[in-house]
Amino acid sequence: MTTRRIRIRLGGQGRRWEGSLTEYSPRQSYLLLSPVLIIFFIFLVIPLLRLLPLSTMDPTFTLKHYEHLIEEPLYRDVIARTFRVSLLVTGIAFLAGYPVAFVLSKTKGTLSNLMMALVLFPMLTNWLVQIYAWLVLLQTHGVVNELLLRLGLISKPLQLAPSEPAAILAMVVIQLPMMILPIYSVLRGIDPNLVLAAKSLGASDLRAFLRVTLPLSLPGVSTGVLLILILSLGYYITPATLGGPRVLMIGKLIEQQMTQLLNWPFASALGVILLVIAISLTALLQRLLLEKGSGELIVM
Amino acid sequence: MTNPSPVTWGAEIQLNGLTKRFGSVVAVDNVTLQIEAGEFLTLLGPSGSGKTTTMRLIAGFDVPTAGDILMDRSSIIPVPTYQRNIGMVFQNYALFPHMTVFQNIAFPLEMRRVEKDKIVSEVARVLELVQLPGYEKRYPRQLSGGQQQRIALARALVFNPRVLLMDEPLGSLDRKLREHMELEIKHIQERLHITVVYVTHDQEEALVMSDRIAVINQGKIEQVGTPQELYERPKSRFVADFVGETNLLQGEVSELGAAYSTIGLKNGARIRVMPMEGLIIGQRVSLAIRPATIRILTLGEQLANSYTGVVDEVIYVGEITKYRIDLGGGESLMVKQAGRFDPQRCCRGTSVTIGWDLVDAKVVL
Repeated sequence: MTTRRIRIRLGGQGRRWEGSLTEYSPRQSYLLLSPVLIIFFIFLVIPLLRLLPLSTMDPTFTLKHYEHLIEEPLYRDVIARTFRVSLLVTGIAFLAGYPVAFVLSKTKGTLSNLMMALVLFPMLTNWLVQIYAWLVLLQTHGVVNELLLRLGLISKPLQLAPSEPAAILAMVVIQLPMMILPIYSVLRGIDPNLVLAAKSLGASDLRAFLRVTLPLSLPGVSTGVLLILILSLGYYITPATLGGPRVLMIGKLIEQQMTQLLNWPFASALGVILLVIAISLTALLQRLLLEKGSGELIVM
Repeated sequence: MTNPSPVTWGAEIQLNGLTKRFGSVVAVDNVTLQIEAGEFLTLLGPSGSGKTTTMRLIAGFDVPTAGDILMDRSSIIPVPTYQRNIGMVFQNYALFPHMTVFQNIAFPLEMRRVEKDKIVSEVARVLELVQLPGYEKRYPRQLSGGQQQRIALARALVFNPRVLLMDEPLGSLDRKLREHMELEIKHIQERLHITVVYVTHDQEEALVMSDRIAVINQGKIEQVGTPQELYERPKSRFVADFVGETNLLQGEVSELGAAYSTIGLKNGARIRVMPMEGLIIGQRVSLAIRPATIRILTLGEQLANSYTGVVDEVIYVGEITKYRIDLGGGESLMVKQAGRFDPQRCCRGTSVTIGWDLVDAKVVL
């Protein structure tokens, strides 16, 4: 295992208070993290590890659940759809969130506070309430359709929800702050002289952004992307409610198998697959996005 | 690619009535200055004097509130920064941390779409110029402060700009390195024949490196001249005090004469100065006397101005010893003496006679 220093930043809110950058050695870092690590181990790692015997001992060692999973086109579709939706949500959140983080990082004072409040808004309301709010807005006799009908813009209500786009929309909105905040945090920490230097050397605004700002903001981008991608993989209530039965994602499938069909071994196999996907994606993204930068993981 | 010599490569810069306001604060106040092609001009002033703002206006980072900036007789205000072809070295170097030394220096060449081979040779050329050959593959964080500074300089010079702006680049270096870099930068500038606009609050840097110095205070230029002119003939209290060390005494004109005039101090001492135009009896003036021009007199020595006083403080700085002499009545003077430490003149409480020539006490208003 490579000895990688974990820098833990205390306070990164731009320049209002210059957070102290304290660097801990790996040994100290693990010591500091040990309470959390212990809790994680007991309540997360061990239960997850139990999935392995659950999914393979039925009653003796067998891989039939995994085979079932791979052979049935239904289940392959579910996994593919989960991937696709998660990637879409992450991609859209990035495209929508980066400009916001960028603009936010350049504002000061009241405007900055106002914008920040707007960004954090989705986090103030319980997400379940938000889902139902979206339903009220987008369903067949919901607010949007009624409005368009009354205005005479359409003659028949549009099928806005339940649908996959509706699920994606809600997932993006709910998770957007988690994309914006890490990117904002990193952007605020970039020395403004670097962009000025690039300009003095002949870079236009666009080129200065692409060659200097964007690469330096990658640690924040990767934090946001990682967070949202992994979380989206596990989402099941939002896509179930706003996507309907046709947008079946792996989370919902696991829930069905567990609570309705009582097929715990199969559900465990699904869980293991989900875990494996999540871990490999994390490792892959870390490789791609973090190695390029300074090798730090910025925690807000 | 060598610079086309023998004519100067550097551009001429003109600031005409340049003004910059931030809300109600006037950072740069109607500054008019002519910088000759190939000249090393320093903007010297304390923090907040407007020197950095002026530099930023020349670079194009800010837009002036009023006035004009001309490069080779044409206004560059409508020209965006990236087209001004002006090299800049920042106080904190601003090296791109995610790029190697090579990539940093190659950056301006890439922006100008220079071919790969050319880039490699040019980067090598400037690395030689700053005496860091072979450093291409390092990252800025692996370099010392002095090395980073030289890489920043190399990066600013590689595309052969005609003007180089430097914003207090030597501030964070230790004294020895700073003194070395002062000369190195000067030599590079002379070799390349480019115009350099240097911003600093350190008067020693200014005196060592500049062809001319513009002393700036609260947004206004107090005086422009060669280092000698500023040091020996300061036009105002501020310049006298800021450039080099000086003693400043307050007094009133008491006598006017052909051979000399007299200024009376509060403690009764009368100081003779060179005759000067425009003085009226009773006028309040300041006197600037450089510590190095005051001598501690031996028995029997006489100078145009001599006074007795008591040694109040002795400061030993190796090559120089400084003394503060108390003249009584609240007046004291700093005296600088080179040479070996003389125990006879030393020590607090010793009574001494000091003196200076007529020409060494300057009236400043």
